[in-house]
Amino acid sequence: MTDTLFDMTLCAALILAAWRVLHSSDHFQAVVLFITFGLILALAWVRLEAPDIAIAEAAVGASLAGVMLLDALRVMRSVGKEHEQEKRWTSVAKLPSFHLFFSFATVLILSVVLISAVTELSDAQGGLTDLVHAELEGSGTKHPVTAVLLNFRGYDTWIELGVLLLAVLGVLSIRECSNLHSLAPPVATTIVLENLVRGIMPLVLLVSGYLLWRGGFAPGGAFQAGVVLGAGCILLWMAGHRSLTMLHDATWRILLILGFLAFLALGSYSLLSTGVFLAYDRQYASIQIFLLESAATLSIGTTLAGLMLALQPLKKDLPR
Amino acid sequence: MTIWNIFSILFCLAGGAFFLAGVVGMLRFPDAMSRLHALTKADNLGLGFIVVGLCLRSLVVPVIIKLLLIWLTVLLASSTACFLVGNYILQEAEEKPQEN
Repeated sequence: MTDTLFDMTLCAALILAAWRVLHSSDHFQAVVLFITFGLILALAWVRLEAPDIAIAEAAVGASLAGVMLLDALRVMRSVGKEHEQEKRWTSVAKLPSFHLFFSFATVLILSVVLISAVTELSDAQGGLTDLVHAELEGSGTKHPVTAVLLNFRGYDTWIELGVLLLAVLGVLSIRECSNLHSLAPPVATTIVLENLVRGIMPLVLLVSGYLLWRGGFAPGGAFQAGVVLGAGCILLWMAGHRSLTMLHDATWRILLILGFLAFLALGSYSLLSTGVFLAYDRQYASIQIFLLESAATLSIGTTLAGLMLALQPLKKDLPR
Repeated sequence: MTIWNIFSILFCLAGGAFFLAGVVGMLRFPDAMSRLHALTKADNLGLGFIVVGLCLRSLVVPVIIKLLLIWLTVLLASSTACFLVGNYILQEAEEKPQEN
């Protein structure tokens, strides 16, 4: 009874937050509401007993996306000041009726597809869960989600890392920012923030390593650990700490491609030796997964930090 | 075991009361500074009470250490965030009279 009540409140809060995000007339309010929406969504994932997705949602959907949106807002404001443009937010109510009709139709079609997909799901008892649990023994890990991500569907994870790499390469080339040295050095902030970051960075690294280690037997893993690492890097930069600018150019590039490269190398090795791409030897599966996850963590952290840092002011744009 | 449970429930309720007061303060207080005050009270004391309540509920040392660590991190983060927002408000207040 209490559970149902809690779930109903959660659903209502989700819908309300989503509605408010679309309907708020103020940019800042919309961004803050979007972050709130992400946090409620993370809670919903916890209720659905999917803590892996909950951690990812809280870290990416709420925190990282929130920081990116807030930063975009800062840039928009400074651009708006320069050009003195009318920078009104187009709220849903003000859109032309054609747009409204189009989005309404899309949502309707999507809802029908989703509902039909869900009704089809209920027939298969638990989907592939039993199969995963049956094969877990020799997969090299004790956590089913990690087993799926890095063993059974390692191919997908490899492609995902490729997508992330493409995204960061796209941003870097559009910004014409080939390395961290072409960025304007971070602006010094208050001593309070700097001290907090200095104190909290070891903890960030510890948590990242802990999440990576935990992925072997419980919710956690490369993606969550990587996001924590990336968030730490962004925090360092935002607090005006210059340590990231000292990162060697080659090191940064290697860190960016490390995850993708590790999958490619292990995949090619298994392709040559067994004829199957990314097939693990049962004996070495767990050490292979550990290596892949560590490489992926570093790459994901660097990629996410790179995505954010590439949007910061460049040296050549600074007034001399 | 039951005595721990009773204490745990009392602490969690106290934490909830602080959060409620914090929310009411956020919505009702007139200016940003006093709203900050309400917000940090909820973060510091409300979460503190709930963490103590949860510690009493679990009574497992590693879990208790993790819970306390969460509280400590939130304390650090919330007081820094509070300082940053307060600092921003003060700067805005200083800049405004010059513009007029």
